[in-house]
Amino acid sequence: MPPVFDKDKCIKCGLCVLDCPGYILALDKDKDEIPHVIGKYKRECWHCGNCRISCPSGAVSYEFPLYTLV
Amino acid sequence: MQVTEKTWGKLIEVDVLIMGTGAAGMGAALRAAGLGADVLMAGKGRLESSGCLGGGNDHYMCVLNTDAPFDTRQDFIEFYLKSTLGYTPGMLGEWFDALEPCLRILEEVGTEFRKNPDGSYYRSVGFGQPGAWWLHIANGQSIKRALAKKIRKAGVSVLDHFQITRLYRDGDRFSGCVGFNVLTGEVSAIRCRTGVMALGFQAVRATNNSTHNPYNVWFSPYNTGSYFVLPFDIGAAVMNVDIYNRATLLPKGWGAPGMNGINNMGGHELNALGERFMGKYDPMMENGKRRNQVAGTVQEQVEGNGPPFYMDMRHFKPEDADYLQNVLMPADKATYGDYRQARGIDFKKAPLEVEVSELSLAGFLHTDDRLETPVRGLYAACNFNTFSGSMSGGYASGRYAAETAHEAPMGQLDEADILAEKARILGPMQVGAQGAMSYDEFEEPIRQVMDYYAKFRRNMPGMELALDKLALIETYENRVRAENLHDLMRTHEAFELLQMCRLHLLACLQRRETGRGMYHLADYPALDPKLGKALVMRKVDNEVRYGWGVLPD
Repeated sequence: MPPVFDKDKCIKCGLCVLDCPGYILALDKDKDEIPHVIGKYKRECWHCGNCRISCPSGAVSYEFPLYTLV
Repeated sequence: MQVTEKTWGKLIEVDVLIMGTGAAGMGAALRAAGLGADVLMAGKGRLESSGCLGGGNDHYMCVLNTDAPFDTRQDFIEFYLKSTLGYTPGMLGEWFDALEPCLRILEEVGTEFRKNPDGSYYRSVGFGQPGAWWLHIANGQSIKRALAKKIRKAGVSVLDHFQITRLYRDGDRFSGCVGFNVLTGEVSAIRCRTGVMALGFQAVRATNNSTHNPYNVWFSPYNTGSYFVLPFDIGAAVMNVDIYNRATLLPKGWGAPGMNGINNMGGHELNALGERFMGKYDPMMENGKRRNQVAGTVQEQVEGNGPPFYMDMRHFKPEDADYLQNVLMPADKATYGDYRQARGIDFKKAPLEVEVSELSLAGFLHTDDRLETPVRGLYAACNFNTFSGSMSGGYASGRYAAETAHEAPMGQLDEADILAEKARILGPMQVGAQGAMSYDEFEEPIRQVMDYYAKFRRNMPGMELALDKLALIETYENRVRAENLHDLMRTHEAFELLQMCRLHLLACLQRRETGRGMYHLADYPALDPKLGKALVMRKVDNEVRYGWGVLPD
């Protein structure tokens, strides 16, 4: 939590953005970007894993904030 | 379903409106559609990923009516037929009768249940229940999507990304709702013949765990009490919102479930002194009532015997430990494996550090045996707990909503009401920057109040003061500014959370005893046998009225 996107694997389909129940992800296809966590909403990730379950190309992994490790 | 474009947005007409697209809404949709009804599901998330089931589930509680000990309809009903819970044999019969059909649906969409070598279901005992009622799921992460596919194929209409903000009644009947699309901001009104309330029985974000991130919690944090607050506002009655609050043990620092599997497979809870202490609090030790495990751990903490606390699984057979941490727990929470790797957790090598979770609020809606609320035509889908209870409660209420829709009139909505609600919904977008506050700045003080005055240890004067402070917070509602639709969605969640906390405290002030809920009252430290009844609350003529085991007039 929150997700990290691998730019080499991501196919920019946007399914992760669509399936995020917290609405914390964004993808601007016009700018040819990969998805990203909207900084302001980073802490609203429930680490539910839906973005990875949706991802057809295995581009999603997770980084755990320090407060979850202490 | 019929859609009409209006100057203020869309007016949708449908026979059966299912509010909520989680496990309960899905059970309701499948049943109602199966009976040939015209069905619309509406929910804030997307059907494929919404609700607590979106990221997976590892257990399905199911009494199979076999020769195994305590495995009959009667055993199931007897276990849940406690006067405090407020269930009737009729309601429990509805729950039981839906368990098996829902199990078949889950198998049909490819859910993999763990089996014994002889082909029978592998089952375990949990949470003080007499029989081995818990089936284990290996591929829980795919359930939501598989069910969604079946529902879309069944012709059910789905309104994704739709946050419902208000319900309406027409006389004594439910007539529909208003809400907005959280991606476009478009306001829609939906009128219907019958409705199923399936917005989820857990209201989260009311208190904090040790991480102080209200989204890093046990159940879905995007649910702040609409299942209770919205129906209560139109005269439905809420029940046991005092004592049905929920807590569990979490892996330290990480909001995820998992104690069900750990407890029922034989994990030992240890305090900082290395003592296995749960025998002091429950005769079934860790596998007793969840309330006792939470209350016992809190008591140990008060006495200084922890933190830290641990769940010790080192004595497990290697294959059981492997199954629990590599199959069951990731099936329940799709990111468990990642967390395990980040923390270097291995159940066979070292005990797992755990903490008492945040306290979430919950309860039931008051219904008759057919799960109909006092608002005619509005059915309750989330009155039974766990994943199987949610899906089964939906399945049962979906039946009655579909059957009664045949004879029920189409609900009428007043356009002036719709316009007023649209203005209220979008109001935070119009608040100027001067003197404004964010939804976080509004919501954090709610948790500050609840953590301080109304967590696991409380007293009556403290809760009365907490109500005053929530009233103060409410006066700031018109200062909350939403800079975009995401902020607007969270703002309305925060407004609901405040009302949910208020309902909880009002109910708690009525129950002068300790021992049924998760919390301990210093001024009423003992159980009062006379209060072994469900507390029912309802708004009548703008005044909150209470009934013990009965619907207040």
